[in-house]
Amino acid sequence: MNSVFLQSLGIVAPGLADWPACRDVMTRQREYQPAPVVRFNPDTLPPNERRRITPTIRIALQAATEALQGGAFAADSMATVFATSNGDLDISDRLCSTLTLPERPVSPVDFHNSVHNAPAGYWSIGCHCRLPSTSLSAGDASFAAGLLESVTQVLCENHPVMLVTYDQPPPPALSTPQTAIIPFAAALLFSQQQDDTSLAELRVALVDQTASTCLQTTSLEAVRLGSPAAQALLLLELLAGGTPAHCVLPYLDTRGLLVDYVPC
Amino acid sequence: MPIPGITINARTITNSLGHGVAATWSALRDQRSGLRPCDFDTAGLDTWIGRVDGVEDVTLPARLQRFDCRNSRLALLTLEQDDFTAAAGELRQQYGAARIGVFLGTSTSGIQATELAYRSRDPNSGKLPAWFDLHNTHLIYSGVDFVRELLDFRGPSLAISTACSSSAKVFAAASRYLQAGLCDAALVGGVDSLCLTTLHGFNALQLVSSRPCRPWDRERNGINIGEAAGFALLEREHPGSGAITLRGYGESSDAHQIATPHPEGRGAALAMQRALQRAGLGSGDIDYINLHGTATPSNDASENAALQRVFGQPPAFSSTKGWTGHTLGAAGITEAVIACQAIVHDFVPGTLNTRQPDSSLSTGIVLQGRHQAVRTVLSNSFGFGGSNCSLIFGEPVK
Repeated sequence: MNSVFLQSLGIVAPGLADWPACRDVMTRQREYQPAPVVRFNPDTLPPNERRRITPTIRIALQAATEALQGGAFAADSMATVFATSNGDLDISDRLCSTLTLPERPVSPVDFHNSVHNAPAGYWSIGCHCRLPSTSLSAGDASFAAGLLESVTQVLCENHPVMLVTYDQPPPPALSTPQTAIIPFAAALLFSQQQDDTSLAELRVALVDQTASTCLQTTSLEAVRLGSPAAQALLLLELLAGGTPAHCVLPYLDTRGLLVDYVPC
Repeated sequence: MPIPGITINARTITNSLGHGVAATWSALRDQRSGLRPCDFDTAGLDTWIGRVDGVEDVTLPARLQRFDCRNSRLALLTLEQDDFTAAAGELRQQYGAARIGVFLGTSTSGIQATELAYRSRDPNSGKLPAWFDLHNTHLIYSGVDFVRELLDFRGPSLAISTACSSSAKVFAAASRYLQAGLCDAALVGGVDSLCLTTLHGFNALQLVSSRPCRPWDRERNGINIGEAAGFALLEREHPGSGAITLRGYGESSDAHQIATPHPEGRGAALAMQRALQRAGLGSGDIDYINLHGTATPSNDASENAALQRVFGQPPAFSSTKGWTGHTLGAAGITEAVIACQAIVHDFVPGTLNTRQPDSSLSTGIVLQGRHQAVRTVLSNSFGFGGSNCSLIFGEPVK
């Protein structure tokens, strides 16, 4: 079993502005109240870059910023893994609409933001970080795949890794029963060594077991089911509980990713 | 830390030079380009492209029709070359489906299906046609899903989409999964097919050339977009197997701009240095460098600065983009396989279309392919978003 230490985290979803707000709902300190996500302004980005970002990029950076600010690691000291199921479908919609027009006036900014590693690129620019970054997808298993990739990188490369998982609701033309219906992003910062600021030890392993877990916080089930990225809530609920526990995240085929949580 | 030895036991590529490794290799030997004036779809652009003949005629198996799009067809066409599917079957027999991971890169996946669907939108409701299947064609994981179903590989899998470094970075990811014991073998590769999105997108950025691209040339003025696919089967090293080895990989970020590389090649240099370090090699140990070499003014200048930083005067180096065009998310695997063939044949490919190398860049770019001892090759892939990956391949371990 592969073990890493969780150092800090961030989350943004409707009615869950940050991790303390999410934790309060999960520990029954307050009722869950859906509310629109407040527009985030990433002030580490130069103004010309800041103007170009899309809502998808924005929520990814928002969750990552909370995790960065909550940890004791320098912004340029961590590799990143960005995991998404849907990608930035607002951009696909605009590009494919534009391509039906006679002159095909594709926006240069839309095209350069259309690469799936655009959120990672903006993050590295804002952090002046030249460590590696991987942008990946595994369909509905994208969060688990991102977690497995992050843990693997921490163990093989011996540097901290920030995992950012995110999905935005697509425009109506590209909506399907499986695409996100709410914006969601979460970020988790992992390191190989335990220190005074470590929140938890996480051990992950692939198991021949489908994800059977659902949230005990029933008021957040609608959030979990509202976005592929929101499977992260299964893991966050372990953290809110604060006692050793485990969950099984949905992975590929009939397998699951078992996560054992031990608080530090 | 050095990676445990990883061997490349089967490989295949298909691009505008033809179907299968031999078609590409004979073209590289014979100075025959795969580029042609743009005749794709209704693009109507004054540029050259690398289009693969026969993609339109490929039929997916009935059980996998849901994946039908240009990207899946190109993937299938490629997997059918070089006895690759048979090698994949033997590997499955050997290790079991659950122990073989699938790691594929793409930049635009099957977005061409979405482009076609938007042309057929209902004029009143705006709805897309019923045949359109977002999840199985457009989304970046769809290609991995298709190949897993086709080959019945069931191990840990993911799609990497980091623009033009995508199918180089899959080697790094697969190496880690092998090292961590998450799988015993891995299918790596990448697929990117022609679409209006990239043709008009790069055109909007004024990065496409109206002539066959000229890497490293003083008159270079942009890329030619190509389509390609390629696959390789990776396993932990068995000494004496006679297979080419993956010696090292290096990944980095530019942290500079989304669509322009760092002018001093800082990120590119880091990727090369990390690859050398992981391979336990010095810069003098590399016999040949396959450049990213896109033929945009900024890429070649940036890559040159990085080369000078890492190598001083670099060893034999060339760009093969003049043959295949820039195959974007498939460039990494295409050039990885070219690197392997360079070792097998002790042959350094030349740089097609380049007439007058830019005197502000490193001298010595190989223009005409030539025989020489090639034991170790470094292959560069750099992408938008400042995503860089360098791979080092070596001759078989005795």
